[in-house]
Amino acid sequence: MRQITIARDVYLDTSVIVNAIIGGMHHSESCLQFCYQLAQAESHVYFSRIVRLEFSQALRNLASRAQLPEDLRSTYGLDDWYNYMVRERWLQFGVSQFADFLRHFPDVTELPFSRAIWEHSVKVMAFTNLQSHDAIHIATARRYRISHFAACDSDFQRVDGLKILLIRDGSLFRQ
Amino acid sequence: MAEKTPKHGIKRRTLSRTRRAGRFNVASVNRSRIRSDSHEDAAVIVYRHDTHRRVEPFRPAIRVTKPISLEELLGNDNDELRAVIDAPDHHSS
Repeated sequence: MRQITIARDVYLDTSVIVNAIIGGMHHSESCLQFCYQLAQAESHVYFSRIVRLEFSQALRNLASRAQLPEDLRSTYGLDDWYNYMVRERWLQFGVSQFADFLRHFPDVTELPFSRAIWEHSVKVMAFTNLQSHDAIHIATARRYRISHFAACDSDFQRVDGLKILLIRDGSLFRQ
Repeated sequence: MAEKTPKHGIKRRTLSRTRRAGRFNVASVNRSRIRSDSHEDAAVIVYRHDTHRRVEPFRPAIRVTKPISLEELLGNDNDELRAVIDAPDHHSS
């Protein structure tokens, strides 16, 4: 992966966070290395509150997937998913992983999701044809004037006015 | 440690400068860094951790044996999102 100059303030899209927390994904290694560089450079990291929403949904979806290793499935008894205790234990484990991930950065800011951001995201959807969640991230970064936006999805390159850092295995470049 | 709940429902915790230097999850409102002019700033949460420490690489405990697409992983029916949009604190004026 090519090294880039690490910005002082960087907005992390859900894709970067999920890829860093869930190892073995297509872009996990790049995201882990990128986040490590951010932490070393003591960059200020920003993310939207909706990341929590998306991450908990990812945990739920992941629990029913065969892609999880058998030892993890058996440790958390995921084959018994309809048991409340199983679900709670797995989701809390995921939440602790999220917290551990954030602790690697010296400065982290969680940004709210507001009606104004939602309204702006609709304009972003219209202009760029992004999906709603992606547009909310763009609208949030713009509202708080965070110019560097890190994501794994190349669709974000359709967005103007932000420096899109595309974090993908095999390539890392700035727009 | 002083702890109070501000009017927009986000738990706010104020720690002394000495304690902020330690490794704590500090949730506080930081208006100076966020350049916005609405009351929504009150919902911004800043987590500060000790900057004078060695950064260790993050090693995820959740690891898939075969990659799953992000679309599949993040897919939902948007009920949760609507719940956020309709949250009372975002409708107060």
